[in-house]
Amino acid sequence: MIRRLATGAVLLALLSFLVFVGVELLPGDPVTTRLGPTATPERVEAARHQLGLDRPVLVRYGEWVSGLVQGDLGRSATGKPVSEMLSDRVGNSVLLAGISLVLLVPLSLGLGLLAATRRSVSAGALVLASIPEFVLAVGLVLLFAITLRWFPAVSLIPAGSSPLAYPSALVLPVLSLLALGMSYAIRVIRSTASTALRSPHVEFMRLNGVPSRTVFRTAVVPAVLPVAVQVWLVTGVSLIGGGVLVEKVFGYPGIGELLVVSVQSGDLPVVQALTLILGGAMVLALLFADVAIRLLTPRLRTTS
Amino acid sequence: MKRAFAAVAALIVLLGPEFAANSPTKPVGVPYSWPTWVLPFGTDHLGRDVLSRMLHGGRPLVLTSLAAALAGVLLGAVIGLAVALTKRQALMWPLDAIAAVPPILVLLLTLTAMPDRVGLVLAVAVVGAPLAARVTQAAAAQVVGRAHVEIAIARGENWAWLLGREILPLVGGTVLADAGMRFVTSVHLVAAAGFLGLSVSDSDWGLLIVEALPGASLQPWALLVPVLGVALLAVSSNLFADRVARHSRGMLG
Amino acid sequence: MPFSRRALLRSAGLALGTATLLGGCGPSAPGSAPVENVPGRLPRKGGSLRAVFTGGGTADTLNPFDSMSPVDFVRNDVLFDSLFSIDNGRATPRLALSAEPAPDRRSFVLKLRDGVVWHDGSPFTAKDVAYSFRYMSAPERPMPSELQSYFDLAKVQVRDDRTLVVPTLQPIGDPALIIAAFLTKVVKDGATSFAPATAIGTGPYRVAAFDAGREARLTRFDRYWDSPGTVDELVLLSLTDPQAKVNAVRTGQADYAGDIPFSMAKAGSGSPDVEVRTAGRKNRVGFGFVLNATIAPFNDPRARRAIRLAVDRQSLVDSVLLGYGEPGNDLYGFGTEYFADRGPVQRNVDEARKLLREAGAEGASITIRSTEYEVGYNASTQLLAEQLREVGLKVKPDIVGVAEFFEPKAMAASHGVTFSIGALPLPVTYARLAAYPSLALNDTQLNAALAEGLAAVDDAAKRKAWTTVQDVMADRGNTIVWGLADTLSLERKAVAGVEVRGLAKYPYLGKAGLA
Repeated sequence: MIRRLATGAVLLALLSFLVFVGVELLPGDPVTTRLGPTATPERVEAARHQLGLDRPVLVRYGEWVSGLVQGDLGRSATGKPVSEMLSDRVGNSVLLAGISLVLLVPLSLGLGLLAATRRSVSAGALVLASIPEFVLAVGLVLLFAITLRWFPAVSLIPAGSSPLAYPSALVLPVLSLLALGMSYAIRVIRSTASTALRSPHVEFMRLNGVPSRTVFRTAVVPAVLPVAVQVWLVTGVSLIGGGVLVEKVFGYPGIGELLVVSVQSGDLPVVQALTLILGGAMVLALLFADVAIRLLTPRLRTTS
Repeated sequence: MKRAFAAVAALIVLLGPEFAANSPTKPVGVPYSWPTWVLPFGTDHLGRDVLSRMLHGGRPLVLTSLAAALAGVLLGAVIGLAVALTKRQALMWPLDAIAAVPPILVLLLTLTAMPDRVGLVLAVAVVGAPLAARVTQAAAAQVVGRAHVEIAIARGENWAWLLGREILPLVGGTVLADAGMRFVTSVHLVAAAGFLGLSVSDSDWGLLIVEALPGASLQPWALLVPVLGVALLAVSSNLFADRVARHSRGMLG
Repeated sequence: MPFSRRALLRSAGLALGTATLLGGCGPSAPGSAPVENVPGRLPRKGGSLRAVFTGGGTADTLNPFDSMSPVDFVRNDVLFDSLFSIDNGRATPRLALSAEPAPDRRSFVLKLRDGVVWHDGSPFTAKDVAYSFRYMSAPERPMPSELQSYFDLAKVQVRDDRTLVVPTLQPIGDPALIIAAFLTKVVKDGATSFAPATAIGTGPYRVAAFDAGREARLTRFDRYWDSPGTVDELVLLSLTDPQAKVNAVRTGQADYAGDIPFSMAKAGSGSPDVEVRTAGRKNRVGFGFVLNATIAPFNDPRARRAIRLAVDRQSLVDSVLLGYGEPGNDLYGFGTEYFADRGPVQRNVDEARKLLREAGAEGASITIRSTEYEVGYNASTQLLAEQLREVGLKVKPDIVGVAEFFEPKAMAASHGVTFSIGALPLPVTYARLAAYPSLALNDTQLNAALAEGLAAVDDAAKRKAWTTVQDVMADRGNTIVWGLADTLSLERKAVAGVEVRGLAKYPYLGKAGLA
């Protein structure tokens, strides 16, 4: 366990350095974007100096890390503290991913098991997986918002309120995210389940006339669960950052839009902070997944 | 029969540009014209022939995705095998660190720095490599523990022989099946790059979808045709991946 | 496990059916012509107006000097007043009453309006203006005001509560126009923070709530010096995706969406009580290319002229603007005072080839740099490349991200860039072009006329100078303005009182409401 934690810490450090240097190599820079076409080279230089962009990368990386340790994410190129820009946005994205995950767990388990025996379900998952999520999101908007008027087309959440207070605005984004995460989960659960169904143990139960429900409950589901839990955890986290395009379609106030805007405008500190948060969440998810597998797999529980 | 169909489809995608009646970039009519006999899928937002753009756009999409999938799988497989054989988990760390970054972010960062096809291939390869490495490592770990491999190791066979004769034939199917999955992901990422305004081609299908979205109600065919194209491509490569996986399972079983 | 073909086809058929349903089932009616937003219809008092504009996400700010995105400009325009604003191409007094140049035109006297109060009830004085000048041009600010290229803002003198004297760096005949053009907002003396509670202006609305990248709720300020705002509450929504802006109005989530793409206008309003409106012909934006006259081949005026002859303007207007506009005459500044009313150059491919041959640029390879700064930039660049191929030029559109577009080295290495300028007064239009070495045209006659135009006080002298400037540009200039584009909005039919003060992309909503 300690070893896993240490590995996680090493991963995070590696990640932060990769990201810091990687972002550094981007061609756009916040100064030329902000100053626009009328800025003189002297003014660009002055602004770079003022933002500290003319100092060596390693020096700035060091400062950034020491700031992080003190809980300071730095200042965005726009002058605002990064933590202030991120605060409720991260929460909103986690909320969206969380709701999707809560729905995804039973749905993907049920459909995945069903797909192991029914081809049409499996084919459906395949078709679902083949449509890019932003096309699906646009389709949902056209059908349920513009044509049927059941749900709002855009997630316009009033200032200072949580999206939770506006459940109808969450329906379409959650559905789009669900589709994004679902197909992978169904595929993995299906293939694990069909392997389990072919195992000698199951064949033996079948030959002995054990009812199909019991076979599933006692043999297939236990075989599927460790893998499924891992998939759910990883999918849940990947939905936080993976919903970028979905958030863009719905104008949802999460981190997706922030991510795109800050990469495109070269807003270094925001990109770095976001990457670290998302990467950290993923490392944690993998850690939990490991623990879950140990708890759910009897063989591993006894040996460790 | 199925194979002949697949071969014809592949030919159309790869040789598409030769069949196209019009230039993919030059307007041939009024923007958003509906299908006619001459222009079976109508024109796009600039009055360009949708069919010709489709025919021109298949090849870059397929080749870019293929190159990216292969590069990712190759990188992943090498590291995965190395980890399985040497049992040094630390080799996996750099890939794990990358795997923690959302794919879209990797795509955004790489394409902002290198807005060309090389950048796109690199980004998608980097996104795919960690999973490919895990899959390969898992498959190879099973094989490494088997009797015939242990015997070979005990015989003092060199690594190349071990890999070529004992391990790769058994792991290859899994790796190929995984390559199929990586290809589907690549197709979607290449399309997503277009959606974010980072397309590197004049007419790949992802770009076609993105360009057609705003005018979807004016000329739905300009949207539906590339969406179906991407969907069919993804479905068929998924089927291919499944088939290879089944095949390899048979070999391993 | 093999799929039966039937199972697969059934799922695929379902998807196809859904897609067809979504796409609509037949050719939609061609979008009717947009309705011009004319003044005269009066909105009724009270209620609320919800307007959506393109925002900058969490970078949205209440600091009027940091405004970057359309939603910032529109919001901060009703919170903070300007000294002068631009109405119909002329400076109109707002917080200032007049800016009288001294006889040598090296300074001017700025007289301020009486009886103006801040949102917190304190009186507005010359000290606030002097502070605003200092604050907006402070070198440590990320975006110091461009006003300091014209005025010596460090030496502003406060003569009394209502009067200031401002020295200028070169002879300036119409300081009010320069002040108006560079968005000279006035903030309170000593203001450094612009949080919802501290963003105190003199405008017709004040901040009730603000969430960057989401919305601002503004309430009417009843002690406003001019006729007060119409609605009780003005809600300004910030979205980054144009389709989302349009969807918000179509589904009744908002009353007004500013600056919508041509394709979405073409797709129609989608609802009987919503319509597409245009800001009108005089507010059209000049879309074009600026050639780099500092490097070959466009350092030769013949090569520049050849491009003008090679461009098919009508085809660009039809394809890029979808007909929402008209061909341009290669000069920026349409709709403003002293704009040269010339006809567009007629396409002549043979003459263009001949000129290119004379300039030694036959079959040259050129790059045109573009980014989607405005909808249509990249499309126009791609089409230009196709059109120039017909005169034998090999054009490579260099499409880049917004963040790197203005990268000086890359700009200097490109043979041309895609550029648009709205209806800004000519002094500002030409200052904008001159600011970038690779966009400027270094021509003795042009530079002399530009300085003359800036210094001129009386109408005849101004007209003469600006005519010379535009004659030079028409003869050997490096701008190719192929089209004038409508600024379109999607509005509920009840929306009234939307004004243009400066650029139509950033309308003034201080008097807007629902009729």
